Amino acid sequence: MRLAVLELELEADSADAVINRLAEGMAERGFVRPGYGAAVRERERVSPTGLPARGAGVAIPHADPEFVLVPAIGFAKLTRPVFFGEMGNPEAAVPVQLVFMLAIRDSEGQLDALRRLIQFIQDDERLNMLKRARDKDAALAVLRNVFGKFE
Amino acid sequence: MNRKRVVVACGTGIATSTVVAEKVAEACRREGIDVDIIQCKATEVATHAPGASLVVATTTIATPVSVPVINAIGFLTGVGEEELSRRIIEALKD
Repeated sequence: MRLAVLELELEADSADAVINRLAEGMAERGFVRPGYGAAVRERERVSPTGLPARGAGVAIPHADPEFVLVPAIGFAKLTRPVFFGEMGNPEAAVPVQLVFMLAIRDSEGQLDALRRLIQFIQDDERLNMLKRARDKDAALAVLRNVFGKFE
Repeated sequence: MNRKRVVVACGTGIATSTVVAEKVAEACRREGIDVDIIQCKATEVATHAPGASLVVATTTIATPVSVPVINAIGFLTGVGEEELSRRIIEALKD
């Protein structure tokens, strides 16, 4: 797994804006095809990914594997939460501060990343460490702990 | 108690439904409920629901089904997880 983009204190006024920012960064660095961002936004409309965890709102936007060139995640921590639709309940909106954009090709990799994220969002201590991370080193330390070593 | 069938669904039938299926299996094992779990995409629920006692899903199910549908994202967030297990068990008891 690679960390394609790391955005801390990102200012954004909508979920679409966060997705665009991450998708552009990931496309520029060659991790995803150019249509990835649009595909993620469309999927988010049909199957939203906002998760109202105890310690923070988290979203895990993603798209079909055909857009993925090199498996990676993009991460953004927002200065102010933006609303994502709630997974399984699109009429509800979740204020989200932590966004993990997943660009993964195989189902095994998807499941592995999901299991790691689920453990993480239920772990208040690590969640708070990431929410409070002021610089890239602090954020990276938590993200490495969540996903294992990045290549 | 008769063997029950539970359909567990998510968008792709791969990721969140796997995590949820494990949680449902664990809850049933604790309660001594015999269960067959069918994991599928949300779009395939209508095919698998007949004969099932319950659908447990992490996405909305667009097609109407004749069995109860329970939203399972509590298994992903950890919020209300015990209550969610209890509702699933209640729905499976004769």
